Amino acid sequence: MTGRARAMRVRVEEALEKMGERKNLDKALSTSNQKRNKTISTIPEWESMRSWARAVKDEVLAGWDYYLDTFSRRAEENGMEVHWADDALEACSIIGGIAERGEAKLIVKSKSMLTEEIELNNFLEGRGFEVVETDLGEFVAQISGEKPSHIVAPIIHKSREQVIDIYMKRLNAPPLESAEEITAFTRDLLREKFLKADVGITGANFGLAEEGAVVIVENEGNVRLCSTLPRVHVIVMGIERLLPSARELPTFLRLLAVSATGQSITNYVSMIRSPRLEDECDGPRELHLVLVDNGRTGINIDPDLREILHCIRCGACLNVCPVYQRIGGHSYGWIYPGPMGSVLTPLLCESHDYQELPYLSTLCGRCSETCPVKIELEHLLIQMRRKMVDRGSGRKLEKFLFLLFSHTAESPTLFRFLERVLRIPLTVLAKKASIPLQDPSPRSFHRRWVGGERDWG
Amino acid sequence: MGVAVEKKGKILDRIRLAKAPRPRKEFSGDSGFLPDLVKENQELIILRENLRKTDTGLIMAKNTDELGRALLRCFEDAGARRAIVFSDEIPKGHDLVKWWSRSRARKDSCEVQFGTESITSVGEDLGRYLAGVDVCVTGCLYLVADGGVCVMDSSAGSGRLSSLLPPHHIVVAEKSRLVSHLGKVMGQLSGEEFKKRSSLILISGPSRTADIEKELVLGVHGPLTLTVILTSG
Repeated sequence: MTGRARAMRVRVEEALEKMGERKNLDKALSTSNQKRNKTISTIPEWESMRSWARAVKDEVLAGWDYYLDTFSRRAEENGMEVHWADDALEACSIIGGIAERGEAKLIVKSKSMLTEEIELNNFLEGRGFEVVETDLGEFVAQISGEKPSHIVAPIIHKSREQVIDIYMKRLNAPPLESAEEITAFTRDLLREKFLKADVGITGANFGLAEEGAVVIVENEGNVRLCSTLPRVHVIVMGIERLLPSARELPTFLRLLAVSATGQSITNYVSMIRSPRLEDECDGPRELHLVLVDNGRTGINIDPDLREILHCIRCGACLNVCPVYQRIGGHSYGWIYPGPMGSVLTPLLCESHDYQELPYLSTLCGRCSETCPVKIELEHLLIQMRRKMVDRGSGRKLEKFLFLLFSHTAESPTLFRFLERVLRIPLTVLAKKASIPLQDPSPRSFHRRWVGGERDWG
Repeated sequence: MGVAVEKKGKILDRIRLAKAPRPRKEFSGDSGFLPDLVKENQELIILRENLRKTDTGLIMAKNTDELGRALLRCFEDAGARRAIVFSDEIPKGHDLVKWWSRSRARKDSCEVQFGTESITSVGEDLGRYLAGVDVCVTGCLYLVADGGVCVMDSSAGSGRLSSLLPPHHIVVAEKSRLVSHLGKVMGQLSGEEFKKRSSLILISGPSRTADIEKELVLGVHGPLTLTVILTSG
């Protein structure tokens, strides 16, 4: 086992130990999957919607420069201040600069995987700002000092009791009992933060090129508060999150909501075009759009892998993945878990710790079957493994054994000879195994087939 | 500004590295997956079903009187003391105020504010003001049957926060606002119409979360209840 593979194994074991009982995750994931399947069963057009969405995404990526240029120009014309960031540090510095110019003290944030990716909270807190996550799950993750374990449901691994415990320890909360009480307590606490905040930061789900508008979806209302109450609103957006126009939006809204939570549309969809207009009574005075590359244009250069840029971050591939179901999100080490994370993380994050992630998969293909934009995730995982081996990262013993095997498989004589010889150690192994194994058949499959045998019982 | 332009150029160049120039494919955008309910005259049935699915109440009102009574009942059910009404369909001098002050369900003092003047005068403290209101009545730009969606217009007098901060939100919509699916809304709003407003908010149901053990809880950061009153105008 290489050092990197060992590091991954240790990480998975640690994460499993911390997760405690897996029943929280099991229950939550099966609820998610049931809800999604139930809703899909009411949409006869589902499969054609997926194919169509894939075609739209292919078009966006093929004309990426055009769509990104159009989107950013229209957004500017609409009154957004557009910023460009090559990498995480640049993005953080831009946002820190905006907050400093706005003389901000308190910053409210909605859940955004991109801001996790660029570690924005750390950066801003280092500059002396108070940063408050306002999505309920993300808020719990923040006060627990944890990263989200799922891209849609950040604390999917936690039980209600664990949340109550954290609230009592970290927030001096009174003994709460139900999810409803936890929610009410959080609402009151965060309402005050919203009203005092100087800057609101949100992510973005879709950028509409033709309209120069940004679309953000949510269920709780915290995105709407972050984007309306503070004087300054900052949208942080990955440069690949584009659609040609608002005309494509309805179908994508449905694909995203159904895949993420089984809803036919999320509770709130904010389509944001500009800062507050003169005749409007509320909304931010300043609207900033920070467009972040952070490795995305690099992924695009590889034609074998670029389709991962189609990902709309619905989290469905996590929910159905038999590996994710067993090991949970924290085992993946970084912020994107599950199949999409196993592809994306090694590409976005150069750290050696994550390069083995494509091996955290059984390649069963459930992820590809589920993906609403038809990303062939398990093929991407195979491609990534192949590239790793091409780069010489494979294990020496494994390489040697496969070399041996390929010679054997190419020579029928050698194959049949070894088939007969290796039967002896196999019989011994079957007897000594700790779990009862059936004795191997005395004659090889090949001999039985040639001998006309068809009854395998 | 110069830095931003330069940076943008660099990022676009990196994208172009990966591909040969090619003509752009035109997308019709009309995916055809959204049911045209108008043809089938099914809008109301589908709307009713979808509102039920998203925990939204639906009340039908034939005239201003019925609308007033429906509102009064909502105020009472919410145990409200302060209400703010933005809907044009309830004229300022409406008997609603009189009815409410006589209502037996009313606990003590009650207050109804009408229209925009009441909220423009509070200026920057609008958030705090609205957070103290119990019920807010607004109109909407469109009511979408498929999905049960209220399309809210930020340039309407009610703005963006009034449908978010008070714990009870009532949308009064005339039947003519009802459309079958979001595709129609997007078709009508792309271009110049959208430019008249800073944002459009699509609302389907009261604020919700399932972050804790996938248990559904209503009323997180936004309203706890949402009621649609459809008037036949």
